[in-house]
Amino acid sequence: MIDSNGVRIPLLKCVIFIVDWTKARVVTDICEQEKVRFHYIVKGRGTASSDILDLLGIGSTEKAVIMCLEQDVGVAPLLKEVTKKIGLHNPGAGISFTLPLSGINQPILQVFKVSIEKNFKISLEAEAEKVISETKFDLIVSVVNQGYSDEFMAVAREAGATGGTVINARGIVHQGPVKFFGISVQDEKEIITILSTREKKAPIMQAVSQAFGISSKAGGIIFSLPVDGVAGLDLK
Amino acid sequence: MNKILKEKIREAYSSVLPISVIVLVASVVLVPMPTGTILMFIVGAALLIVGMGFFTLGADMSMMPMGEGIGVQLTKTTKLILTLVICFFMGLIITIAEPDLQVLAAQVPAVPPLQLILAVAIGVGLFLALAIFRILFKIRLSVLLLIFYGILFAVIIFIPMIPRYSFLTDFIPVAFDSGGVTTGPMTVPFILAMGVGVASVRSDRNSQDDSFGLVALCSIGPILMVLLLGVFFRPSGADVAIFAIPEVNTSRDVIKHFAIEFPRYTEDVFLALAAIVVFFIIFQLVSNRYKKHQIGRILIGFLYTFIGLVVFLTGVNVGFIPVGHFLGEQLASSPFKWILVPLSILIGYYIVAAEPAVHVLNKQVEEISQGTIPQKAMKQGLSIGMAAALGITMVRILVGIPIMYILVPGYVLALALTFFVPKIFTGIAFDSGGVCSGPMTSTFLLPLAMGTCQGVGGDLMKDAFGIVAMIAMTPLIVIQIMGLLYGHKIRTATKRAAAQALDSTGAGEIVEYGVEGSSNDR
Repeated sequence: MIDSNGVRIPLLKCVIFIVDWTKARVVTDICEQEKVRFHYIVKGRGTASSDILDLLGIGSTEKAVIMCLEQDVGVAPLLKEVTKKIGLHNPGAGISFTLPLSGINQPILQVFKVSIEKNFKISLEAEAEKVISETKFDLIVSVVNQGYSDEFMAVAREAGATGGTVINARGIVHQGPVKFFGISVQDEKEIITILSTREKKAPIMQAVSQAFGISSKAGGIIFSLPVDGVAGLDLK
Repeated sequence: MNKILKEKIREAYSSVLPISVIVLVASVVLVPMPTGTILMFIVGAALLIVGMGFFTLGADMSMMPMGEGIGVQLTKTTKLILTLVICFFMGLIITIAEPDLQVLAAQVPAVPPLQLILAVAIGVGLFLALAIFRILFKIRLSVLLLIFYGILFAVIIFIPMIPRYSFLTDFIPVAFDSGGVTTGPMTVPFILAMGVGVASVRSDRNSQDDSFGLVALCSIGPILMVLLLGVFFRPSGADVAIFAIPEVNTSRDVIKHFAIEFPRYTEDVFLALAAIVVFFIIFQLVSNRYKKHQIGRILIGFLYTFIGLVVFLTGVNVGFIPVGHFLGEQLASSPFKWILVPLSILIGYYIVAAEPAVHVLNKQVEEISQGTIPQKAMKQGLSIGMAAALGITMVRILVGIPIMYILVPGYVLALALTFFVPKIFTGIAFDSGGVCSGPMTSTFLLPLAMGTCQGVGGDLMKDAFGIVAMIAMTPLIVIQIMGLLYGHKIRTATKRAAAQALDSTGAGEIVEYGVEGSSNDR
């Protein structure tokens, strides 16, 4: 992409890794080593593959959700490295995917301009690109009230979802938060992310928004984002 | 195999195995022990592994979500008095339920057990309410710690100077013990999670710093209350039951010993958990917080906690008490007394991992710090703290140094550090003091100290009992020093980041990518 002055603007992607909490260190080390700037880590929880396992407490594992920004040409080597170290191709080891950015503030971009020369060379190694599968995926993001994630996932699984990750979050209401002795009390929310193929996206979203939509008790807000690259998801 | 199950099993045996191996090696090389006692120890260690696995899984599933939920819901009610009253009663009920406390109460004949338990429970209740009050009003933890430890030490130092109350000197170790043991495997997961819950609804910058510190305050309450009780009851030097090494000849005897004790712990733990389950049901009826699925999981979690604690307590009480006592006594009366010091340091280093509540704390710390304070670092810090505590205690028993000579400077150092350490570490450090002194301490380390004390002919009340106080103190210093190093690391990192600061030209500008552009423009 070229800006008005004819200078090449690095094209950035948001890269998200969802791996076991114990493996988070491996990913952040790779990010460090590959000089990926701005990586952030959030604790999430995987969802159980069956109700019985969930009830027995051995269903859902702790997950680390790691977000970082990387130039599109750097994404493939990064995913390749992580796939190799963590074995993302094994079922249950973790997933990673990239989301295209639609905008970014200027200073952040400056950082990437420095390394653009180096990355230019990498982009010539076209074979590295093949790590990212070309299949079209979508990330379904749902924000529901606290406590609904288990039932939400049960419905989503029936509609074809293979798994999901739950992140605890706080809602910010537009009237301003309730104050309790100077402390703002916020609504607890759960963010549920489900990575799905494009064909399955619609049925999953329909099913969950019917059961947990904004008018239900869960008050779910459900939307999807286009994912342009995926690694580690075993979808046949 | 299931990933979580595998992880839990690994965690359980790697916590118990090292300490068991050390003791076994010591029993072969240093102190030959009766085969029966050793057999009991091995069975005890096996039970410990099973119990630990169930307990940590159960605490994850039940105590943590429940404590967190109550914390959140309490803050949301936005009624201060109601919140504090509920906290008081919660502290009261959970403490009465704590199995460790009943064991302690039975060992202090000078005060009727019921009064002692009530005094301790009221102490915890009051201080739990105070701790919540602190979080809501954003009072600095170190200020409260300074005030209450100040009061505590003033009481301990000055009251016995009044001739009428001089008997209190002998009562001090018991008071410190009750502070240490009341924050055991039942209360810790619950209170820790509650703090996280209360702090999590706050959205200001310091909320994660305030997640910790509840256990810390709850450990002071009992000490003060028991001292107060002492003033009224005039205990005449609390006697302690001396352990007799059980007569064990056949493997059937071994099983018999465990079988006899088993119903007792089943009952203790059942009563304790029943109180919490009832609390949970009332809470759920009022708040309707948990959905069907979560309730199922929490109830199964309670079942795991129950199984885990019964098995753990039976194992440790039957299998470990005799060995600890025997080891201490034999070594202390042998010519190689000094070997007790390095041996205890080694034992201390590895025994931390076998305290069930320690895992809960470490996990919580890692979670709140989003991994910046890893479980491994916490474990190492606590290990060093415990090793130091045991080393000091052994030297103290062998040489006979009054405990105040160590406690006073120790606490002065710990409190002074609170001013230099990142806030979150103050909370964690003072919490870990209560967390480290759990069932392993009262069933293995205390007998070890008592055995040693008997071996060298020291004063049981004055020398042996200080071990709990010591274990409750050293982590305060070690974890804070860890925090000091950590704070230093963060500062240099930010300095380095500042040195290569971003070029801030066009800070307000946004570069737009066309979404179409991203795929076409290669």
